[in-house]
Amino acid sequence: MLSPKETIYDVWEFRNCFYKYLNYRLFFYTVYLQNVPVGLLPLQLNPETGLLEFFGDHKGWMDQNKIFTTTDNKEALVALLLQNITMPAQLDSLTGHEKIIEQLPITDYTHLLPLSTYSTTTEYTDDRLHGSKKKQIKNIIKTYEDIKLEKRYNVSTDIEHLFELNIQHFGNESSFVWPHRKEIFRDFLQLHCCKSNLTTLLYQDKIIGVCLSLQYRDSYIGINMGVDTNILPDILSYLLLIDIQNAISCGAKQYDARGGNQQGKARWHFDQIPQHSFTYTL
Amino acid sequence: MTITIKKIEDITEAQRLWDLLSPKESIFDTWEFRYIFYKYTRQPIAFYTGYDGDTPIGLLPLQINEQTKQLEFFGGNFMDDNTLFLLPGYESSAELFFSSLPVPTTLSYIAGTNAFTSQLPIIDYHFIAPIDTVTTTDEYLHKLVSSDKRREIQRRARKMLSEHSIVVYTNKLDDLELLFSLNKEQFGEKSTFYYPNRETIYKDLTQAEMFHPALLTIELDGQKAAVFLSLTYKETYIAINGGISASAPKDFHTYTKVAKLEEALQYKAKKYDALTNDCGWKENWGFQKIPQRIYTNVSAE
Repeated sequence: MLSPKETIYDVWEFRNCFYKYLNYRLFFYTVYLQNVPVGLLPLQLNPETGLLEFFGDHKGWMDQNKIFTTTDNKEALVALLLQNITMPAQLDSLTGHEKIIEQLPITDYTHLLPLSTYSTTTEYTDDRLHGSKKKQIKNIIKTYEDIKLEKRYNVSTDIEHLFELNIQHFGNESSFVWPHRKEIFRDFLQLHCCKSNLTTLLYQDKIIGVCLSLQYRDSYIGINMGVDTNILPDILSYLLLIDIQNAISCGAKQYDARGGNQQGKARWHFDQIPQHSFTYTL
Repeated sequence: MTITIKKIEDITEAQRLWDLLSPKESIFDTWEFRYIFYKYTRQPIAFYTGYDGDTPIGLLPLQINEQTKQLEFFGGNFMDDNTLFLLPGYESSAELFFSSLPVPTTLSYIAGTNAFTSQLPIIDYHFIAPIDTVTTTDEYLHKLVSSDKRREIQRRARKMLSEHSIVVYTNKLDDLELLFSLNKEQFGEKSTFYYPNRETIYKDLTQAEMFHPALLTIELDGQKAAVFLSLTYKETYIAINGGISASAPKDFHTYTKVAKLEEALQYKAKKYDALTNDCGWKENWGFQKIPQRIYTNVSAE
């Protein structure tokens, strides 16, 4: 009723992929005007930290968290909802146009690449990358296209290779060693609210890269990847370029590379949209 | 509610509406700052004002650039964080103001303060560092800069202090002319001070007491090698501009950035505003990036 459903993070079915395994206690702060709900701050209580956090979040995975309001008096409604939090809270990756949100500390950025003006990844690299980075990416494209890697799409069992490669690459820092994360990602493939895309790269019949993306409305969201950099060290960059090309090919208007890893993502010259943090302590 | 948009061309009425509707949060929201830039060109005013009945509820403050014959934000092309002022509750009427503009119009360096302007294409970022939780430059570097970059900055600054004689002066107002000449020396033809009236505007800025103007002069081995102008508004230190001698070593450039940060901390500012354009250092120094956007109603075809 109140969610604008602008991004995939505004969709109940998507957040429920996490929530159904967590079952944290819900704290949905709601403003009513003459018995009609006009504002919603959807939170849950994380029993590990003892802090309120956004509904469906798990270890800061959720992006572009919003306070939902009707179109009028947004400023006042957002202020009222934040002022009414009565328990310790850590609300991260909070986005919104309201002054009260913009004045909060910026703690991360969402990385978005508008695609409307590009029909190929080459147009993107020519437009946005410069100097040594552009040269490096052009070299990667040429080298990897000469190798002629085999590509395959939407083989659902390849998601297991994504997990395996991600754990192999990041070790204990991989999110797939956390409880439920694999189940959650398998569930992403079954979502009705969006279209899932699995892209797999093979080199000499061996899987060396798998990328999961979701297409929601005009946005193509790069969710996660697993790559084997032992054989082809720049495979991660190449797989990202393929994913951007996939996004262009299916008519998406923007590629969403999500938040986190700011230094790594900034090199790709995506637009950076500030994400704020709200902290409440007793 | 029915919103009607009227174009206001009278400067007195324009100022009244500005005072009524501007949130006055940043220096760019103040009439006084923009007027210093405006008064030397006196471009025709075009303040697109929204009314709910007879009540002004929003303002898109523009002027007509007589050279280009195009609309631009009040105060001209120096301005960042250009904002459509809207009273609370009227945020959803933002698009109406822009759709009232003649074709073709292109407006740049717009802050995304509502759903409409927040979806416009990004062309640059405004760089602002929060400094309210630190008291020294070392503390700042530890808190906001990556360890590699921090070590590099500290090494360069230490090298300057150990190998050269450096003296820092504050508020030697006579050094403003030197700022102009050092800026021209540093940037050549691209120096902002080759623009008409720009030096006079800067002289006025140093007289604008409500913005607490301050000059920082740095002497290197007995020669004045850098001068910077800052303003402070609502606990935000704004590094307006400066100039560094073309013969100064690279490490001196790093040292001057540390010196300016130290000055901002001495003034007990809560934010350090380095304006737009990364210039190859601002993001690395931990400045936060606020998108600046562009509106155009010109078809790409």
